Amino acid sequence: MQGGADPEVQGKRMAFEEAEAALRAWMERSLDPVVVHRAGRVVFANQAVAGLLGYGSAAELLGVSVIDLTHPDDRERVRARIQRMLTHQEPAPLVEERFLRRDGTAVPVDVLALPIVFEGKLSILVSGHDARERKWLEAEKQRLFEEQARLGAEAQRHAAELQAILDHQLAGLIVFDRTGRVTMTNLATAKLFGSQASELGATLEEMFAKVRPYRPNGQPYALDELPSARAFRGEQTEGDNLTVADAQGNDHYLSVSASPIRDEEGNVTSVVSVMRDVTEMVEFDRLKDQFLRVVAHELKTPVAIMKGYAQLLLRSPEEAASRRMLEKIDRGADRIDRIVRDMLDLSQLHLGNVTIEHEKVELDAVVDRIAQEMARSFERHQLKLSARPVVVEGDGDRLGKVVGALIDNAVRYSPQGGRIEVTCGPRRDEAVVSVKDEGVGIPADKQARVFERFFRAHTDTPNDYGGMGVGLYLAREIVRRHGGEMWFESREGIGSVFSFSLPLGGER
Amino acid sequence: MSGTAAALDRVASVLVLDDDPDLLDLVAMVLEMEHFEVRCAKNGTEGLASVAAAGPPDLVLLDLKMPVMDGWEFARRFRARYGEAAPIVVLTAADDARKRAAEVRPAAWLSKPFDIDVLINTVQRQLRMRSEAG
Repeated sequence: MQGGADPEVQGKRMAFEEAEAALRAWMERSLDPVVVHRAGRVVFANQAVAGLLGYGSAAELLGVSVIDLTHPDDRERVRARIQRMLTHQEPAPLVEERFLRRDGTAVPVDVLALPIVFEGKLSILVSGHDARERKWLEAEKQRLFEEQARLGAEAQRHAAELQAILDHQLAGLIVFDRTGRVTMTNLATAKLFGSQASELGATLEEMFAKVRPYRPNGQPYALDELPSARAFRGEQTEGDNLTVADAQGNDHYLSVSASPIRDEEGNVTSVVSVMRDVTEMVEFDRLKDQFLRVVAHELKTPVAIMKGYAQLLLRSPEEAASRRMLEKIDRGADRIDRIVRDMLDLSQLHLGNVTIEHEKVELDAVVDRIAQEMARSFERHQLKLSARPVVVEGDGDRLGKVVGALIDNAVRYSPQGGRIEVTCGPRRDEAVVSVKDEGVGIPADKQARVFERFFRAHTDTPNDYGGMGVGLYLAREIVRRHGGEMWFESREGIGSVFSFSLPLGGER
Repeated sequence: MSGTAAALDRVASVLVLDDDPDLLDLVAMVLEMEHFEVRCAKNGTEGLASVAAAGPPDLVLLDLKMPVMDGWEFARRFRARYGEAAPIVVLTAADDARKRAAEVRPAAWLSKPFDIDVLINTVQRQLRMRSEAG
């Protein structure tokens, strides 16, 4: 000092000291770590630095070597930076550096450094910011990004797997979104409708315009009758039969089901439609019925020959033993004939081309005739017949067969004998016929299937008395084609009552 | 002695068409036992040839499904040439016998297998109706 004479110099000094005091006060209060060092030693440190580096107070850091506070791997770089700053008198850019805490662990800090005059001497101010949070956030961001990428890849893989699974399904599948556009489909669908018709984004209307499905009877479907259209209206459909022509013009028979998918509020958000190509089954079924028909037809002439010659021989005088044998041949031929006719009815009913006559039928007379006829060959059974006059419209021969089938069953399944009770008459606006037996009955667990084609409740049981398993099926089908219905009640060991009703057919 | 034959003052003739020889024999035997004159044909072509050679019979017993020329075609040509010269009784194994037979507009029809009594009654009834009408 030169005696403080110059008031201008004195004023500047005071201003400078005030500024430094302000800087010091700010640095001490700063929440970020601040250090000033000179000639490699710490000359100022704030509480934030002490806290960051694990020192009890800022004072403990004074005089400590800056290089000693730096992570050994970063020391060379720090020395060079300091050198550069002092030489060029300019701040150093923001960098991340690792400092050593008192316990020897490293802590990353984002630091800014600049040369300043402090306590009247060229020093370096280092301001830092704990980088751990930033680094953690960056790492977290990276982790989230990678996780997202992983999930994305996984979702893509799952979608690819799902598509592969769907493509390997034999059933066609289409998913429509709420606007009626295709959002998912599979190979089977593309094969059925052509890949263009069912491509993603196509609408139900567009598909319909290209595919033009029709019913088994040849009637075209209307757009809003389609299973998918009905599913959009909230309906669950199953097993609708659609016929479509494929790209090659071949007809395919489809069994189609469609389901609405709803959100939490119950609104239909999409529709899933599944279609099974049943062409082969339908074709096979048709061939089977055709075969049955041909076989039955082929049997008719030989049966006619057997029966005819047996009857012819019976016309000439024969001894009693021969007559009995010829009668048995004749009756055997009759039985074959009945089986043949059942087979024919079966195939014809199934092919849907059975012709039912529409005549006035005195049902009581039919019941009476059939029951009396059959009672002639009863050996252990007694017929109790009560037929009140009733007229229906329909096919007398076929209704006779229905009555015959019920009586035949009643006899067949009451081998110990007993009463066969046949009733016929009007009941309200219907004609009702019932046949009751005291036979073996039908086990409860078999009752639901009694009217199924080829179902035989007593197959392979001691109560198996033969038959093709078609009698009740045929009987009910014939009744239904007359607008009537057939039902039964049965208890095992007690007996069964089979009944059918027909609409009344007017006056006699 | 059959009443029918007496009513016609002569032996009535029946042309039987069926492609099955055993069945043809059966029908022929049955009708001969009833004193009809029986002519046999294995198909429509043979039937028409028989008619051309010997004139129309008093009644035709016609099977429908036959090779070469079937019953429907025989009936059509027979009617075209001879009109209603003889009633046609259809004898068929068709499962929808009644419907198929109707296409021929027969005087009567029988489905196979048949009772021979029914066959005889049907033939006699048709001939009697014919002779009464004529």
